[in-house]
Amino acid sequence: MPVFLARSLAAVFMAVIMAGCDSNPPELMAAIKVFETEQETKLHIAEMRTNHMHLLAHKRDETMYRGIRTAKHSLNACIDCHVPMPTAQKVVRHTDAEHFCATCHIEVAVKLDCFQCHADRPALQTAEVAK
Amino acid sequence: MSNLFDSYRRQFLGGLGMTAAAVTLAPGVILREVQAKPDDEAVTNKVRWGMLIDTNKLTDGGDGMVAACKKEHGWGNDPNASPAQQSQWVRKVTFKDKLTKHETSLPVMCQHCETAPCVDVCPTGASFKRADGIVLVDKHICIGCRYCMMACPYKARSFVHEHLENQQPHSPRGIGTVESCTLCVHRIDMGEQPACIEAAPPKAAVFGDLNDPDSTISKAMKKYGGQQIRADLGLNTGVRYWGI
Repeated sequence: MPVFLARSLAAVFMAVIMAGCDSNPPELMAAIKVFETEQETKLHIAEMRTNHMHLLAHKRDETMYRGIRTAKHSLNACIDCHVPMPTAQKVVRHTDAEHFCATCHIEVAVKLDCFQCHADRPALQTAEVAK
Repeated sequence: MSNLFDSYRRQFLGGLGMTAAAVTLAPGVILREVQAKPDDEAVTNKVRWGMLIDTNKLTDGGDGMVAACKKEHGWGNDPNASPAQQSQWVRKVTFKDKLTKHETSLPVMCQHCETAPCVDVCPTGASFKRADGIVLVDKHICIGCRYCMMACPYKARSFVHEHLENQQPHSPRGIGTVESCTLCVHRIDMGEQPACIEAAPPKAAVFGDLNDPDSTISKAMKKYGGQQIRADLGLNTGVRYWGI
């Protein structure tokens, strides 16, 4: 009987561990912009899932040292599309689990330093213009 | 690489037929003569940005310029900082002539030196001068050692002591890094003027390209000169004054 109990406990334990190994990322909040084709969306997701950190770091130096401030791969442009505009009722912060960046970073336990300095939500002016 | 970009720039400017004329709002009031570079083009050392401040025309002694900077970059109200710890990207300095008793006020910010002491002393390379003469801190690399604050003869730099929230998207500021006037680099890259220039009383402050002999600032300085604070240090500052 104790052996059976130990085995079933082990099975439950393994199931719990394996659930954590699911390669699917957690459900993320929807972006504001929608690509025209599904293919574009899939390519964007695939590229960003693997490379967003490299693209951001590259763009960071381009902006800092060479003054190139195009929207492509800029952190502000990511935020403007992926994080909802702040409203009087609700401001989504990077400390909230529902924040686009935080959801995955909490899941995989990778510390995110960007928002010590950078804004974690669209500019208030942007929000006003959008109204 | 930079030669390639330079040639692109020349072609682009040639194509434009140098249409970068000063836009005038009303006779005598110059709204803008800063030309936006194409977004995807790197800055070059063909321009050197500078500023000329006429203290005699600064009716408020520079208060408006300081307030505009605070609003643009969000410094000066860090919740847990003591008054001495608050960041100060630009401050109003007043001095009095002993004989005449004449008081002069001027805003003092990063002077964007050609040979910047802060860049010399930085151990990580975080403090750097951009090709167009703007002295900046790369906060990604800054370790907060504050050598640059010691080196700066103008006391232009500040250190952020505490965790901050609600930063402006165009002006990241954060704990453990040194910061100073960026000459509103985010605006310059878009072809706009620094916030303080827009807030200054009419004709009290001019911003422009010191390398271009035809710019308003160069013409004005050629005619009447432009004083440096602590000119004896020979730093060839990008920020110049009249009436000090």
